Amino acid sequence: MYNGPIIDCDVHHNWASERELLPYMPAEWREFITERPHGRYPLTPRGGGKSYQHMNGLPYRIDTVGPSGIPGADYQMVRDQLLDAYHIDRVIVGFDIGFQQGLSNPELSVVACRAANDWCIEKWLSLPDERIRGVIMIPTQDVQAAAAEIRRVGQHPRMCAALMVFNGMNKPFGHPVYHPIYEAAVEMGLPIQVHSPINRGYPAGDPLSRMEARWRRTFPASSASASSISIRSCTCSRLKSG
Amino acid sequence: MPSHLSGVIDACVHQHWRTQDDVTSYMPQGWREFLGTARSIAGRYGQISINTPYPYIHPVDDFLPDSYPAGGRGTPGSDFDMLKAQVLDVKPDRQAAVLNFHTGMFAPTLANTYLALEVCRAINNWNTEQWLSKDSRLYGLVLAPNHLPEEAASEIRRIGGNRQIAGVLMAGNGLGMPFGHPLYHPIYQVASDMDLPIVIHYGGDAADQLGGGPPKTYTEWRILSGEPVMSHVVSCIGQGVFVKFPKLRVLVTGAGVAWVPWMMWRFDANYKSMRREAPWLTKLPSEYLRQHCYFSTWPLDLSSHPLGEAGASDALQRLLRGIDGIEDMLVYASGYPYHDAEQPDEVAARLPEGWHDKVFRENARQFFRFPQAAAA
Repeated sequence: MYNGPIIDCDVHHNWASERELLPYMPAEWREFITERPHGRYPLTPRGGGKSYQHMNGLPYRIDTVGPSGIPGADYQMVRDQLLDAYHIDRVIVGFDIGFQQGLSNPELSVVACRAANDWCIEKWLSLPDERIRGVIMIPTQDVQAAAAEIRRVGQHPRMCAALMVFNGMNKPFGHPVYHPIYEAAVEMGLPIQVHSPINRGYPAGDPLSRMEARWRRTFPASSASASSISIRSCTCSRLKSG
Repeated sequence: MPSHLSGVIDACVHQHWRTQDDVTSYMPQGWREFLGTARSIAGRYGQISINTPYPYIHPVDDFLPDSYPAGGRGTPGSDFDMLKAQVLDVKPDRQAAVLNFHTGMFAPTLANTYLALEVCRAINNWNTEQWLSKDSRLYGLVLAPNHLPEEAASEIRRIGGNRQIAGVLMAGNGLGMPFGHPLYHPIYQVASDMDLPIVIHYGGDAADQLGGGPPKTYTEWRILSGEPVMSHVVSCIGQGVFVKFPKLRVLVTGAGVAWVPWMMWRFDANYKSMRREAPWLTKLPSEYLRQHCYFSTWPLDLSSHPLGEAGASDALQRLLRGIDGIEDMLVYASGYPYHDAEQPDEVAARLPEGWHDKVFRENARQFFRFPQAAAA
C-alpha cells in the first residue's frame, strides 16, 4: 500500500455560471455577451462535450453535484470529497475541460481564456488552501496570444503548467505552428498539460456513440504525445539552447 | 396589398417541439429510458438531448423578437396558435405552408446511428399527429433518416402516403456525402415512385466541411453555409440523379438565390469541355436545373443598394435574369421564425410583378405534391 504523498494532476474545477467570467472581460465583450434579448451568448461552444452525451446527460459523479448544480464549482465539496478524503497533498485544477479554447471566434476565445485564468487565480489560487495549483488556459487558435498569456500569468506562484485541449490549428501538437507556445512555456519554466483533446475528426470517421468516443478520444492524445517526442527531442532542446 | 398576392404558398416554415418529450413520447420505451428524464437529477440533469443545434449563434437573436411563445420563455415555432397567427392567418391569405422542422431536421446527424433513426421516426409521427392534423393548410415533409438510406426509403413509404405530406427533407447530411452520391439514391427512388419532391435545407453539413476550414463567426458561417447546398445541387446534376429519376424535383431552401446564375454558368461552361467524364449526362447542366430544380426566395439576396432604392431590386433582377426561366424556379418561403424571415409583400416588392403568380403560388404547386383539391 502506497503511503507517500499524492499529487492529483487532473481535477476539473468549474464556475457555477459563465457569469462569473464577465468581471474579468473588457466592457465591449461583456456587452456582446450580455446585451441580447434572449439569454447570454454562451462561452462554451455548441456541441462542446454534448455531441457524445453521457447517460442521463450527466458526465459527472452524481454526488459531486453541489448546491450550485455544477460539479467542481464548490471548493468545500472538492476539499471534503477529494483533498481531505484521500489525503491529497497537491491538486491541479484544470477547468472543465477548457472548452473556451474551442470557441469558434478566436478573439472571443482569447478574451475568455484570459478571463478564465484571472477567475482561477482569484477564486481558487488565492484560497488559503495551499494544496491547490492551477494551469493556464491558453487560446490555442492564436498561438501568439497563447504565448503572451503564458507570460502574463505564468509567474503566478501557484500556476504550474499550460493547458492544451482544443486543437486550434488542426495540427498535431508537435507541429512548428505551436512552437511559440512551447517557447513561452520553457521561458517560464512551465510544462504543457494536454488534456484528452477536443479535436476535429477522428481517424476512420467519427465515433457513433459515447462509448466509442470515450475509447477513441485517446487517439488525438496519443498523437499529441507522439508529437511530444518531437517536442522533447528537438523543440525543447532547441528552445532551451536558444 | 395587390390582389394577385392571395392564396400564397409558403415553402419553408420551421416548427419545433416545446420539450423533447413531445417527440420522444413516440419512441420505443427502451430509447425513452436511455434518454432519461429532464431535471430528474439535481434539478438540471437527467436527460440526453436529441437536439442538434446550429454550431453558430446569432450575435443578437436567432429568431424574430415576437416569435417567442410562453411570455418570451418558449421556443420559437413550438406553439401552433402562435404560428397560425404569425404565418397562416397573416394577410395576404395563405393556402398552404410547408413545415420544414427546426433543428430537428438535423437528426440524421446524431452520432448514434440507431438513436438517430428512432428520433427521425418519432419526429415524423410527432409532425403528423401534433402539427399536420391541426390545420388543413399545413403540409409536411418526411424527415428522411438519410444516414441509413434503406431505412429512409422505408420511412418515406411508411408516412409518405399521408395527403398532407408534400415532399421529403434532406437537411442533416447523414453520410457526409454530396447528396447526388449513389448511396442516397434509394431515397430518390422511393420519393420519385411516390411523386414526392426533395427539399434540401441548408445548415445540415458540419461546419468543418465548409471549404477552407470552419468559419470563425456567425456572420461568416451564415454567408458560407450556402456552400454545401451548391455542392448538393452540382452533385445531383453531375451524378445523374435526374437522368436516373426523370420525375424527381429538388428545392433548395435557406441559402438565397443569387449564387445560382454563377454556379450554372460555370457548370455549363465546364461541362462542354469535360463531359466525357460524365457520359451518363445527355443535356447541359442548366437544362437539368431548369427542369428539376427550384430555389426558395428565403432569404432573398440583398444587393449593396439600400433596400427600397430602385437600384436594389434592379441589381438583383439583372443578376437573376442571368438564367433564362429563373422565374419558373423561384418559390416563396418565409423562413419563419428565423431572424431573416420575409413576408410576401417584402419579397414581392423586389421581384418583377410578372413573376408574382409563379413565385407565390404556381411554382410551389408544380414542385410540391399537393392533393388535387389544393392544387386546383
